[in-house]
Amino acid sequence: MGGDTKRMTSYVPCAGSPISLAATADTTGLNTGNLTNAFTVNILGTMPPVWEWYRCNITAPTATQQFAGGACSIYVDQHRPLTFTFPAPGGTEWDPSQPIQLRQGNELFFFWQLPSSTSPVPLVTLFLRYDADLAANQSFRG
Amino acid sequence: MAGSSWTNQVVAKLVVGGPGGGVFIYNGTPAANNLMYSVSRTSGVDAFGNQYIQGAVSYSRQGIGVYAVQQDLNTAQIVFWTSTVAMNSTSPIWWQQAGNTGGVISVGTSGLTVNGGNNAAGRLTLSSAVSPILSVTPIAAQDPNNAGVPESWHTMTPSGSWANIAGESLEMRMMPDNMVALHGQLTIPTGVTGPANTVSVIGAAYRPPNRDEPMVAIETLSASPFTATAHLLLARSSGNLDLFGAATSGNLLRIQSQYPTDGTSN
Repeated sequence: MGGDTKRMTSYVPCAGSPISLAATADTTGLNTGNLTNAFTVNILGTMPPVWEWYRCNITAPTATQQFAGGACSIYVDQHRPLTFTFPAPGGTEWDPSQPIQLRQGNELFFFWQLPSSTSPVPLVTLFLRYDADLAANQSFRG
Repeated sequence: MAGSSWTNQVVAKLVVGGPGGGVFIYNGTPAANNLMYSVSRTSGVDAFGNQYIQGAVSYSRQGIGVYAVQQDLNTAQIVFWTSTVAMNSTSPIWWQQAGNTGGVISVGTSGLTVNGGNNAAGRLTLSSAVSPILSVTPIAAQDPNNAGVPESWHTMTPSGSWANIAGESLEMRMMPDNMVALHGQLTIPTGVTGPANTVSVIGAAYRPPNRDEPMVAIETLSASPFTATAHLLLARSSGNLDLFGAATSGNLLRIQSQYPTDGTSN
């Protein structure tokens, strides 16, 4: 009688998702003089053992402003390049077919080739989730 | 950034290829009648009903009609199009509308050609806001007997006993404004007594078609006191270049004039 029953993956939003962070003058030392969005563990909070970054918006901080655009390199934990983007004026949206899988403790850094004096600064909004069915996440109570 | 999921990106290089490929740029939200630019190997219809033509083409709406500037992929031509129907018209298609080509600039072995278009009412207009239009080299008409060849002076054969003076032969030349220029000096023969006396015969392509055209020719003594007498010189539609008035044998007939070849029969 019947084979294995399959069901949809149980995605659960990470606490606080979506998380928005405006770029500030770089303090990592890796993008001195330019703007950086540093999604550190302090910003992300307690994350599941395995989580996904599955969507992103980059805009100006307010609806009446327009982000002028610029080149950006995106790193995991400051030293691992992850992806890059070069929004034209207005901003950009990222909705990949394969979300990026990350682990507890990972941090995301957006290193902009924009001087710290740039205004308006880019506002990065991350959409984060985790698969509640993964064995690694079974004990997570986020 | 192949396959990037980021939207609204600045890219260093955009490569478009493959059969049926093309680039289409719209003025705002893509829709009928707002195609602004297209690059395509073949002509066709886009997803919104806009008729586009092959090559790299820019489009602009002029009322309901279309103006387009096409860099033709098949020839070294830039074609200027005009139409009075919309870009999404199917009957007629805007670029097939009769008399719709505004002009063509082409380059070939014979040089750069600017054509004022296939519309019977069209014209090529050169204008300058303040300063005169400067031509570095003279503007020449086309030789009426040699298409594509710039006009030059053609020696005319004197009729009867008329004789060219060496180095001053009677010549004719079609000018860019449809006037025929004549110049030269001949020795007057005997028998020029007053009625029409044919000096030479004008080539068919240079004859005034609708009326005889009058000019003035000057008879002078060949030596002091160089007394001058004016004569009527008629360029006839039949081809004869006829002199009127009695003239003295041995005197010189000096011609420096022009006549139109597009006079009416009114």
